[in-house]
Amino acid sequence: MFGLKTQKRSYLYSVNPNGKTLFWLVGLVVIVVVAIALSITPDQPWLNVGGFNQFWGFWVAAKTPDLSTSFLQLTTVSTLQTLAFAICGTVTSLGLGFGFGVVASEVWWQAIAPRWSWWLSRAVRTGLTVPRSLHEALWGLLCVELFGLDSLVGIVAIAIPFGAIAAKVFSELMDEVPRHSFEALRCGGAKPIAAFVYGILPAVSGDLLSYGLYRFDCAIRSAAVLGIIGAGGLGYQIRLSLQSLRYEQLWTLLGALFLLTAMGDFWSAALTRRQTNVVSRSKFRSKIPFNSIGYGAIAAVVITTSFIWVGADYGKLLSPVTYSRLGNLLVAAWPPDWLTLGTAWQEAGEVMLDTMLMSVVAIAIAGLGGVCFAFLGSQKLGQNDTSNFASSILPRARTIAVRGFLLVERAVPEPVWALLCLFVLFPGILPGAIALGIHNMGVLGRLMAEVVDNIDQRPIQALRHTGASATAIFFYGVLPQTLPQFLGYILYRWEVCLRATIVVGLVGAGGLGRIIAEALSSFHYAGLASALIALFALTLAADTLSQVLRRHLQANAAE
Amino acid sequence: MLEIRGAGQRFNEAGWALRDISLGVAPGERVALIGPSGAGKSTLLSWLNGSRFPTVGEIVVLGQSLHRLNTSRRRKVQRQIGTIYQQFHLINNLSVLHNVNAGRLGYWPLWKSILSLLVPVNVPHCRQLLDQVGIGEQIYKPLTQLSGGQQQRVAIARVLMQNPQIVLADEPVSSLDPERSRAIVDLLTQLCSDRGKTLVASLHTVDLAQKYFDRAIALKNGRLLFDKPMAAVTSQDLSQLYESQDQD
Ligand SMILES: Nc1ncnc2c1ncn2[C@@H]1O[C@H](COP(=O)(O)OP(=O)(O)O)[C@@H](O)[C@H]1O
Ligand SMILES: [Mg+2]
Repeated sequence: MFGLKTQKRSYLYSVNPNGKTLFWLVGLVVIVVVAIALSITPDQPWLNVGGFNQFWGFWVAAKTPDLSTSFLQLTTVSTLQTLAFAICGTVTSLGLGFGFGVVASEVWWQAIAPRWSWWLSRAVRTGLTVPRSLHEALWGLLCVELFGLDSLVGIVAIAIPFGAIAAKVFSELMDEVPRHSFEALRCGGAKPIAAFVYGILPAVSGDLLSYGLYRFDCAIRSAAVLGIIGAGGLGYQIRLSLQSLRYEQLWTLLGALFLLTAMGDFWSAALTRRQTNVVSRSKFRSKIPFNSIGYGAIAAVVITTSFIWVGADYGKLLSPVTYSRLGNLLVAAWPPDWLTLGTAWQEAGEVMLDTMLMSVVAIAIAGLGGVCFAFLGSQKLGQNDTSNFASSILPRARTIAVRGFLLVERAVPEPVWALLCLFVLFPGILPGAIALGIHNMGVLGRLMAEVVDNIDQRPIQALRHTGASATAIFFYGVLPQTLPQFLGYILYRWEVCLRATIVVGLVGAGGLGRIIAEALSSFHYAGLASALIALFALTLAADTLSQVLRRHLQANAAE
Repeated sequence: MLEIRGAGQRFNEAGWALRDISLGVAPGERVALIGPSGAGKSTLLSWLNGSRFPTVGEIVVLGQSLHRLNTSRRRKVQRQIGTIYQQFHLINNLSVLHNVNAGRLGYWPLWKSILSLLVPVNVPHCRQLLDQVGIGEQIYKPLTQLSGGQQQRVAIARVLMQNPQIVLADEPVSSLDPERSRAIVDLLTQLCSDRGKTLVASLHTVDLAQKYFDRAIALKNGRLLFDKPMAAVTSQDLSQLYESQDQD
């Protein structure tokens, strides 16, 4: 996603609807339609009429959230805990990302083993695809096996996949730094590592920081999901309330999650915008009242408090018990038991196909909804030039409503949406796809609304002056500017959806996630291994396809 | 001190960028490398600091043949050679202080190099050197706040910090205006002769070379055109050096 952002400029220019693009678009639409058709298989009932009472009960409870002092206290503590997970997870992932980013970069190996630099950096990068392609919830479950129910799960499970993604981004940034000062230091006889520390690292340190802030809102959402798995915090309370059918409490907790997400989005947006808008760092520093030491001190205090306050048993990271458990787990997992996926290859293929279908239907829902809401929620679009307050009040209200709606969609974690769907739908692809679709619509809608707000207004003004109708302006002025970037985001988010099928599968929605949940609850690690390998293969295939399509898109946009 | 023995450089099939170069530089000499752009000045200097090996021939620095040394031995020799570049090649995101301290990286153990980024060491010495190049009060500023001339002064201070026996300068003043150029060359030659350092600098302006250096090595189309004391360089030599290259 970070990559997409930096490439924004190249997307902003026109999309070139040549034959190839049209071919891809038609192909994509066909795939999506087939996927939807397949996921509503007519020979099975999919609507669970009996569940409507529960479903209704949930909505009715919205009128009376539990606002008792004791429960509000519990909610506050849980919210802070989730926030602390997100902070600790982000910080740890940045540390890991930095360390692994260094050894994944080519320039590092050029410094210490020039002859093998390409191979070594490729090897590390390939190794990083494994932690990156598994969802943090899966890491959470594996951590629970190793650490038991401990806050450590919440930190480590965020740190591993986020760290691997950060490592990839950082290594690419380091390789992009011009080499001349590095080379100059080496010519003066500096040791390779010292030359790297002085000549390469300072150039990327600012980017590392803004990347961390940028990922913080994702970390909050992940922390909530991990809570549901058992790490503690808001997610855990949500799970307890759901299990005991106390919807009044659930609404209070969801409200807290809403506020937390809103805060995360706000900070992430505010800080990264400030970081990227800064042309020269010195100007930035003189403009704000704090110097960077002041900010650093505040950050240090907040981070240290978070690490202490989550109360994780950090000793478990090094304790022999953990490693003997890990050893047992690996021994039990080998060789993988392929029969878990199905008694025949065909069955195994069906499970994988189901998982894929779920992600496709989900991204279709998320993408379509996201595009619609992005335009509805845009601040600039559809407003006239008049700055008359009365006439701008309606669009403004609409903007706020749409943005609030998108925020609700993404504040509620996927498994919670899935559980709600499972009230009225029988387990299968559909409830999972809808749950993922709703959540990701919230994420995509926000990203896309940003795109719409940032479009170049000049061509639109020009069209308006020619007397073009609003529809014509939309199709000739707005859509061409935004579509390539929308498609880029949708493809990127599709990769995320495929990984996240696991989370909704865990609560019973179907696909590989369900098999993983069953294997875990019956301690059938060999079965777990086979499901994980199947998932990894699927993720790799989807990432490759998405990358090819995105590159194609970008090449077209740049033409 | 510095010796080039029958060296030549070939980058691709097209031909030789430098060929049949043999010359020696004695301790304490001030040598100006002159010639039109593309003559091979930068390539020759990159031989001397060990960042490039000639395709044929041998480079001997302080009695050691560079391509015969292993990496750590070569690094020891390289610590005795400081280089100043046209584009400065400093570290933009660090302060002046750290840029000057970077001259010591070849001597410091790794932990000290890293620690110094957090708790700067060696500050009085840095300050003293920066005073000598005339920008002592800029010590804590980020490098990017300095003008081009000031940045080249930082580069000189860094070389002084490295304290090599040999200083190489590749067009040190090409990106500066004439007034600043003169001041920088004046400073550089002064500091080098005060400390008895050998200086080899490539320059694109002959007047600065004639004023501040005692020997001229002229390169043209990759060949050594002449190598004589600066006082013996005639205007005929110069017109031959800079006349249109297609006529040879
Ligand atoms: N890395 C390289 N690859 C190919 N050709 C090069 C390279 N570096 C320099 N050259 C060529 O060698 C010749 C000499 O270059 P250079 O030493 O930079 O000259 P000067 O510094 O005198 O301007 C030029 O023709 C240049 O194009
Ligand atoms: Mg040159």
